[in-house]
This record gives sequence, C-alpha cells and structure tokens, in this order.
Amino acid sequence: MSKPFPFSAIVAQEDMKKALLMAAVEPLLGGVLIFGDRGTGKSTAVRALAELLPKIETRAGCRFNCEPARPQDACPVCNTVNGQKAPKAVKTRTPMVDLPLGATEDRICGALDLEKALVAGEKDFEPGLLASANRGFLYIDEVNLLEDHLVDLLLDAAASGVNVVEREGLSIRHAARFALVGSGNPEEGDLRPQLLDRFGLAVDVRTIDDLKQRIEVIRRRDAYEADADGFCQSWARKDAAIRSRVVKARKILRDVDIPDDVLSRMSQLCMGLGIDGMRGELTLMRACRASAALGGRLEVTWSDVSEISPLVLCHRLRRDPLDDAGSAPRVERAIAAVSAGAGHG
Amino acid sequence: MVEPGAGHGLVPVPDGDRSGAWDDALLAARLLKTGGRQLGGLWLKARAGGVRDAYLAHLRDIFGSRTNWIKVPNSVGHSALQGSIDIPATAKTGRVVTMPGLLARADQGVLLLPMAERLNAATAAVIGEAIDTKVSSSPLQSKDRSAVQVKTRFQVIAIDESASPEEHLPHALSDRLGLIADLSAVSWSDVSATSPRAREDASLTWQDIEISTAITELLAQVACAAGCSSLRRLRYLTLVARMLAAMESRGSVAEADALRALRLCLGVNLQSQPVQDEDQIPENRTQPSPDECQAEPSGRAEPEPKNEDRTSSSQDLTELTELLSAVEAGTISGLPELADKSPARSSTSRTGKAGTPQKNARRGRPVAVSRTAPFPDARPSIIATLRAAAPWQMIRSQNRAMLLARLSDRDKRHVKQPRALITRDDYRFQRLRHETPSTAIFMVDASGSTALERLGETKGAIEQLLSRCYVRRDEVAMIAFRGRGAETVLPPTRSLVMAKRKLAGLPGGGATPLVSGLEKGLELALSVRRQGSTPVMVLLTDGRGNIARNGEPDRNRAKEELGLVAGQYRSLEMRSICIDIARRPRESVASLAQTMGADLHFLRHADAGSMSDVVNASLVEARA
Repeated sequence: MSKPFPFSAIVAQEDMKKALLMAAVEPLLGGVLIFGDRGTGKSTAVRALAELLPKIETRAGCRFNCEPARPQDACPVCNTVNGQKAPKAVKTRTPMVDLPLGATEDRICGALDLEKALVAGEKDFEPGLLASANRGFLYIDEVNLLEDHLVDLLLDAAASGVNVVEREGLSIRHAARFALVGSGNPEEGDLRPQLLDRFGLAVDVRTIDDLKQRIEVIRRRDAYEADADGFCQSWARKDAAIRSRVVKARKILRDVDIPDDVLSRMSQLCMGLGIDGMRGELTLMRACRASAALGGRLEVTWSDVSEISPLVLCHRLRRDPLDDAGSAPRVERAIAAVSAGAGHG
Repeated sequence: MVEPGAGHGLVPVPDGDRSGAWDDALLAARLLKTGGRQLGGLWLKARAGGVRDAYLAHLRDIFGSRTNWIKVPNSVGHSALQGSIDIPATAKTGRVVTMPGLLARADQGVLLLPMAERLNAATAAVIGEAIDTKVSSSPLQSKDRSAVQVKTRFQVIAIDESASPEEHLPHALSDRLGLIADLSAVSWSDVSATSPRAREDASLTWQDIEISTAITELLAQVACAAGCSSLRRLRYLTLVARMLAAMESRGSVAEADALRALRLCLGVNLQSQPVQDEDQIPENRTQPSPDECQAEPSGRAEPEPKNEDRTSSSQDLTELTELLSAVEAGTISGLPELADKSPARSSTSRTGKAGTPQKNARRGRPVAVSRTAPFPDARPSIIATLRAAAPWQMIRSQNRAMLLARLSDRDKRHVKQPRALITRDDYRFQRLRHETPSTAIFMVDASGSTALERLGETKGAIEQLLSRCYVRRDEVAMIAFRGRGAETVLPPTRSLVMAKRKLAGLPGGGATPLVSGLEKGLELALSVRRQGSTPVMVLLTDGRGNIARNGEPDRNRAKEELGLVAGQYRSLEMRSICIDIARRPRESVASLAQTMGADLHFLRHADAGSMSDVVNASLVEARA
C-alpha cells in the first residue's frame, strides 16, 4: 500500500474534517457518520485521518491493543506466565480498522483459531476486528448497506465497550472501545435509528460547487497519483501542525469549562427540538468541549454551540411528517430562537 | 427533449449515420488498453446481440490472450469475491490454505460483469472499494494483527443491459467507471464495415501531456451543467483528454480531445444520439442553477487566457464554449436525462416501511450466513454448518476419547462412533433477502360528466405502468367509485392482459361516494401490505364527495367521515398521491391531500402519459 492521501491536502469539506478531528480528540463522542454524494472524498478523509493521528502505546505482538500498564486477561501476549518478561512496549499507528461489507460474524467478534484447531487440535482464540479496533477507529464504508445481524453485533459491542465470545470452552472477554466512523449514501437506504443514535456527529457532505476548488481537487489528485511519496512529503508539515493541534486539544480537553448560561441554553435548544433522552444533550456538551479544545480555548462559547449543534442534533430529530423542510433548517431555526431569547433575557 | 441543435448551429447528424457510436466504442477500447486501470474501467451499455459480441471479441483481441478475464455472476457472494478458507486443504496440509477470491484473481486483468444492472449495491460497494484501494482484503487474519490483503489491480467492464430508466448500475460502480460506451444505436453494418484492428499506440504517455487551465475549467463547467457533479468523473474527464492527446502524439490537450473526452466519459455529444441516462444526478434539480457554474458572469463562459500554462499556439475554444452554452440551455440531445425525469427524493422522508428490502425474508437472494435463525422455524444451511463444525472435529474427538476412557467397558458397547461431531453452536443459517414490490392502487372517481374520459385516461396510465414496471415486479390495482359505493374493478395484478380484459367497458356517471372509495382503497392497501408489498395510493378526484358511508346523500356527514378516513391514511403512513382533476384547482382537494399526507398534482386533462410518470416516480421511490 502506498501512503494515503494527506489529510491537510483535502480541499474544502471543512465540516467533515472538523468532525473527524473532534472524534479523534474526544473518543467518548461515539464517532462520526458521513453522508454524502459519490466522489466527495469521504473515504479519502477517513483513511487520511489514521495516518495523521498520534501513535498509541502497546506491546509488541499484542493483538488486543492492551495498554502496557493494564494488560487484559484475554491477551496471551501481555499476561506473563511464571515470571517471563512481557515483550517491550512499542508505539503503533492509531488503529483504523476497515470493516468490509462482506465480513462474517466470526471475523468481527473473533473465533476459533483455525490453524491451531485443524493442525494441532488446540483450542485457541483468534481475535477479530473488534479487538483490532480497540483504542482506535472502526470504519464502515457504505454503512447503510451493512447486514442487520452485523449491525446488532456492533451496537452491542459499541454500547458496552466489551466484546464477549462464548463457545464450548472458549470464554473470552476483551475491551472493544472504538469510535465508529461510517460513510454512506442515504439514497441507497436508510439507517436504523438505533444505529444512527450511536454516532455522535453526523455530517452531510455536499459536492464542491466552486469551480476553482474543483479544479484544485483534480490538480492535487493528479500530483498525488503521479508521485505519492513526494506529494505526501510536501504536505507533511501541514499534517504535523494538525497532529499537534489534536495532541494539545487532548491535553486540555478535561479542563474546558462550559459556563452556566451556555449550559442552560443548550438544554433549551434540545428541549425546543424535542430531542429524546439525555444522549443528545450529553453529546452536545462533549462535542462543544472538543471543539473549544481544538481551537485551543478553555471555555465554551455560544458560537461554539451554534456552530456544532447541527452536526450533533440533525440526525437525532424525530421525523416530522408535517414539516417539509429538512432537519438542518429546523436546527438552525431552533438555534436562532434560543439566541434571540438569550438576547432579551 | 428539444430538437437536436435547435438554434445553436450544431450539426445534427442525419438518422441512419450512427457509426459515430461505434467509432467511439473502439476508441474507448483503445483507451482501456493503454490506461484502463487509471480509469477504473468501462461502462458498456449494450443489450445482448451480435454487435456486443463483436465488441467484446475486439476487446479480447486488443488485450491479448495473456490477460485474465474473470467473469463475475451478478449474484456473487462476498466470500467468492474476497476469498475464503479452504478447509479440506487446510486439514490436509496442516497450515491455513486460502482460496483466492475473484477480485484477487483478476489482478492485472479484467473483471467482466455481465448484467451489471442487476448487481446489488453491497456487492458493487465491495468491488468499488477494491478499485479504490487496489487491495482485496481476504477474510483471514495473519499473525501481524491485520487482515491479509492481496494487492490487486484490475479494470472493470460492466455490461449494462438496462431496458428502462429505473434500472441502472449501482452508483458505487457507475461513479468509478471512467469510460462510457453505448452500443444500443450501433447497427450491424457499421460493425462489419469497420472491422477493428488493434493499432500500435504512440510513444507518448498521458503523464507527459499538458492540459491548460482553460480547458480544465470548461470541462468542469460542462460536467456541472450536464448534472454530473462527481469529482471522480471530472478527474476521469481530464485524464481521458490527456490520454487522447497522447495517442495523437500531441504535447498538450487540444479542443478536439476535450470534446471527445466529454463524449466518452459523459456521453455529452454534439451529434444527435439516443438518450442516455447518467445517474450521478444531484437531487432536486431540473436546470443547473447559475451558482453552480460560478465562474460565469453572464451565461457565456469566455475563459481568460492564462499565460502560465498556455501552450505554444493560443487555443481557440469556440466549440467547447458553444457546447457548454448548449448544454446549459438544455438544447442538446444525447444529454443525460436530468432530474426532472428522475424521481426527486422527497425531503419529508416519509419512508415508513416503504419498499425496504425485507430483512430475514423466507425467499430471495442469499446474502449472508449467520448464527442466529432469521425466523423461528428456519432450517440450518447444511454446508455452512459443516464448515463451521469442521475446525472443531479434532478438538471434539479428543474430548470424546477422554470421556470414553473414563467409561466402564459395559457402557462403551452402547456408544457409537459418530461420523462428524456437530453441536448446537455450529448451526448456521442462510439469510435471504428480497426486494418488496410496490403496488399502485388507483382510486378513480367515476362519477359525473367527465367520468368516461377520466376512466379512459386512467386505463391508459395503468397499461403504461404495467408495461413499464414489469421488470420490477410491481403490481397495479384499481378501484372505481360512483353512484352509491365503490368497487374493486381490478384486483392487484401484474398481468397486462388481465388488466386490459378487466378494464374494458367500465360504466361511469352518478354521484360521488368519495368516502367509500377511500375506505375500500385503505382495506385493499392494508391487505397488500400484509402480503409484503408496499402500497402506493393514487386518488383521482375533484374532491366533492356528496354521499356518506351508508350510501345516503348527506354532504355534511360525508365531509366529516372523509376527514376521519383521510386521517387514517396519514397515521398508517400510506404513501399516496392525490391528483386533482377539476377544471380549476380546488381548495377541497388540497385540504384532503393535506389531511392524507399525500403529494398533490394537478392534471386538468389527466393524460395517460403524465399520470403514469407521476405514479411511476412514486413507485420507484417507495422502493428506494
């Protein structure tokens, strides 16, 4: 595999880039859903993100991405038996695991290690994609085409952060904490609301309609195809700048403060839109924190909220058969109403 | 469609001289040979026949006998595409042996997809991903914590035999295939007259070719105006233009190359050609809006000469600009059909359960194997179950031997040695999936003076619909209401013959029992829904019901009941269309449509053609 297209070289699509970076800063957001037309660079951006993010620390040969300080019980590598030394700690790229549409349940959850079973008759566990995605991202292209029974598996694991495998004597539990990143084209099928909910942010990607930018996309793509390594080299510095922004944001994330009046207006906004449950409000808070941290600020402002809330709330709205406008205008109207109310009060 | 070349000085080609399409197809073949892998492949629109065979033979000829041609059946499963584990071989050799998938086997070759319009979206997505990443990931995992990835670079030739506008290639594929060739208008004489010869290609490669900003901009504008906004396709356009210049041994892209590239990648043509449909059509757009092509102050796009990448001769791009303005004005034939023809996605998204492919269906195409039973009395799939049990055999027989060793001799005599040890955990079930058909239910007001004419038009629309949606397995039913009640004239059917027989000689005239008509329609719709089809209701009325449910003439009561029934339509999420057939649009129909949650259309003279268009759009949408 040659190097993926650099993240910083992606033209326009600011919403998508911002959402991806926010998900990288705050793993608790629950990932990003990218909906949009064909040929808008959805997959390109996701593959570029993995290359850009800071490395994680684990042990050499560990297939569950354990933290060196906290080995998991399921991992045969990090758990040392009778005084052997564990392998040394290494830094690896943030996992960005592709979940192919044709994946089987065994492939996702992990299953019996075929080789050992067939050859030596030993019962051993072969970790699946959920194990590989631990502490990283699980990327599903065309998420709306994913088979239902696989969606159920994912929802289960994503909700609990733990993957459980139980089969005649194989009894494995391992951490599966990952951010879901899904992309798809809504015209080819809708997503189940249960799955929609799991995504913290949703972005609608439109095709670029500015002629100059369109030409720029073509030019960069040509340059990349002609000499991938050289092209990545020339963007390396910009990528590094984004990486250091993410690292800084992660450091200050827990210290970002939300003033009380902004908090109360957030609640008003969610109530006004009739968002079910706490999940929307909680995600909105986390997203605003992440956004402020990315900007290097320690306080969330109302402008953060009005900028971010469409990403957080659009896909959580109940469908209103009487409202012909899409969900984005409804969110904007609600924000405007809350802003105006704040101005008077 | 507008007459070709109307008012734009474009030269319409006289009918019968269609060899252009064949020459273009041959050109596409040459491009495939030189740079097919950069271009993804070829979207070949051709029905079966001699012309297509000749063309495919020509392609094989060009590619030479050493190239792999992997033919992929359109019902292919993911495991066949991506490879799977060969259990018998693994057991025999004592190490994991995989069977390479079709994608890996097509490396350096051609992936041929016959009847590609029947390919399902998920399969297309898998192929599309392999085109993008040039890697096919097999289901195995290697020891280095990542899936085994096989490098594979191939080009796709998708044969699209679409017969109607509703059928087309899955978007995931059509967007990634750079070249389009349409053989539908090529006659046999063209093919035999120009017997193709594989030609030697020029020494230049496309990377050496300059393309000026002016031309790139114009290409982008034409693509935009033609309703194709995908950036991938724009990139293919510039690539093809450069490849064409390379073939002619020119150092930079000339106007002729750009025009040809537009023909080969978009099907935009200066000559009259049969209508093609592109399906990268942005939604809700009938005309490209002015802000899409922002670089134009006022209609005419005269690109300013840019000195930095002008080539030696200053180029004259009159033809291209002419083409652009023709495309924008919509006065060009051979244009991809734009959004006014394709069903616009409703912004309300009243999808409900409409047309979703039935999950866990009892019949249909096999999609996947799963551990849980798709429905309570499902039978396990034997092959999949045995495959799941295979790896465990050695482990289980060892366990068994241990248990046997503990038994006393007397008990051992009662124990039989089984051939295969299968436990409950091994059961695997085949999941099936099939698209639910839609059923259009016409509710026709057969009362009053214009009844006969209206019934006639509705019959026409029904027959047209049936002839159009035969492929999709959609059904049509009709209810007529007049006098004191409603009757089901045509029960849901797919048969054109039956429809014609039943619809012959319908009586018309009398009062308007609108409520009864709606009620009858609702009953029928619910029964259709129970049978797993999606009903689409079409109501033709002037909105003045004057007969109550019990058949008594009582206008007020009728109005009250009408509100109740219409409300039911909305609460049951029936997709419905209300067609106002009064001479002037009436408030009453509008409010009825509002209550029903129906789309409202006015057809003063409900002509069969436009009616069947409207309904057809809804039927397609119901499946989307």
